[in-house]
Amino acid sequence: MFSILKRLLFLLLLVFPAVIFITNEGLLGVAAEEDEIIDDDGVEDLDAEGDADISDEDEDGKVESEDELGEEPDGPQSTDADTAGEQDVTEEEEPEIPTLTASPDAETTILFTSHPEQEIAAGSIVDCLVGFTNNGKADFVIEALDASLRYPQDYSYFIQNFTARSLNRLVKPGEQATFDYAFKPHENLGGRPFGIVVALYYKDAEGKDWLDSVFNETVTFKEQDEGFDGETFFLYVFVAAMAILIIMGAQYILSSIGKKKPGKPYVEMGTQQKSDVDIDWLPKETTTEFGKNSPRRSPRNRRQKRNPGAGED
Amino acid sequence: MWKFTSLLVAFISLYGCCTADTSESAHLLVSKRVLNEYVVEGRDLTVSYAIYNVGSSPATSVSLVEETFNSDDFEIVSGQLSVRWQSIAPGANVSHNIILKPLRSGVFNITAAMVTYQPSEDAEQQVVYSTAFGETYVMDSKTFNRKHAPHVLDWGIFGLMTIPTIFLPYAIWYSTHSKYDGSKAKKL
Repeated sequence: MFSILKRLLFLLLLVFPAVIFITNEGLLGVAAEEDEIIDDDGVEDLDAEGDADISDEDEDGKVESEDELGEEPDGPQSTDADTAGEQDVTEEEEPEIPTLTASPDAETTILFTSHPEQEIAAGSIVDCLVGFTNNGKADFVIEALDASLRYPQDYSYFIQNFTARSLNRLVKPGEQATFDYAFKPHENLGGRPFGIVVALYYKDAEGKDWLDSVFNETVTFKEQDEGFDGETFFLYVFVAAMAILIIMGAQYILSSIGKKKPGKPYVEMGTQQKSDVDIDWLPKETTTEFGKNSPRRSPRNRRQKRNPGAGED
Repeated sequence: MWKFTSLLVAFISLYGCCTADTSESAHLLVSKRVLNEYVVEGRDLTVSYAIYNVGSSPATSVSLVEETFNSDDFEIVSGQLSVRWQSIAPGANVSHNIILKPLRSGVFNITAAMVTYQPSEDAEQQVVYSTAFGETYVMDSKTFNRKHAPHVLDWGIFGLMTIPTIFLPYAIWYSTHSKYDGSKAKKL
């Protein structure tokens, strides 16, 4: 009777909240639907594995179509970019704000002060100076400068994005201004080509936004060749320490094995020799003292021993 | 046909003008950097200027004028606030350093220095502004010392104060040890 009640209580406590949870939260229901779609894929994959090569292509096609459904128009654009040349791709380097271009009244130049030959080693800091010339008749307000590393075949694919530097500087007509920017490509990016885009964001007097990609080229990063690498140095130190430890351990083991054999007969010889010693000429009290090996006697105990003797005397 | 030729002429003239514009003039980029990691009141502050000529002809009568550091807040230790160069060859660069001493702490806006030059022989004076360091916090020397001074005196006092706590117990131990050490030596 009680067990049935317990089961009922258990069901109530587990199933009831679960049902409420699922029915109340609409989002969870959607997540479950997505799971079902993935399950379907799995079934298709299994089918595809059974079939010939053609089915693999079908599968690829299906995945792409799903991407198109799942994502926003970016999906088909990127597939177009794969087939199209680089020039087409550079036009849509800012997919969010595709209308931004350089102003005809402005002129920009760039100079890599740290790497004049543009032989950039990955992991090193790259300093660059951007010059801006206002050739127009109205003021320009330079807002920000940023840089990013792109995939060279597809400039809409960002590999590393660097923090934008906000400048907020006014450049009057006919004047020039210089801005500096420094970035550090990740150490692991050496030996491969990357598209570096340095972009300058500015505003004209009417408040219209302009974007000038001051530098937009594919650059192959060099491998970083440091003279002294701390990590490998300490690896060698660790290896050397381990080797020394092993040698010491081996020496200890070998010496302990080697000592045991000559040690035992020596001890026995010693006892035999001791038995040979004739100590009969000594008084009995002293010979009994030899047997008791008690050098660690504190003076306090001695005193306690002597005191009763003194009392007797 | 006439249209085509006119277009061609226009194109050629445009091209010629553009190439002339880029080939015959100098273009200067000016960087201004603060070399110190910490800008501290009463300590030296090194400002470094570098002028790069990225144009294709020499820039003549180049003059750099620095007006950011007013004499109330900054004292010049060495270097000059206005410099002149006769010419900077294309592809070359010149640099100039000044050492200042901030007289008081607070936030200062270190803005751009102004450089004027002649891009080509007949051209007008061209103004180029250097890079700006932006708002800089000049640390007061007290905070700087608290964070970065070696604190020799403080550690010395600390060492002196630790002496009693270490040497008193040692003295007590040593006195008792030496008392019993003699008896042990006799026994052995």
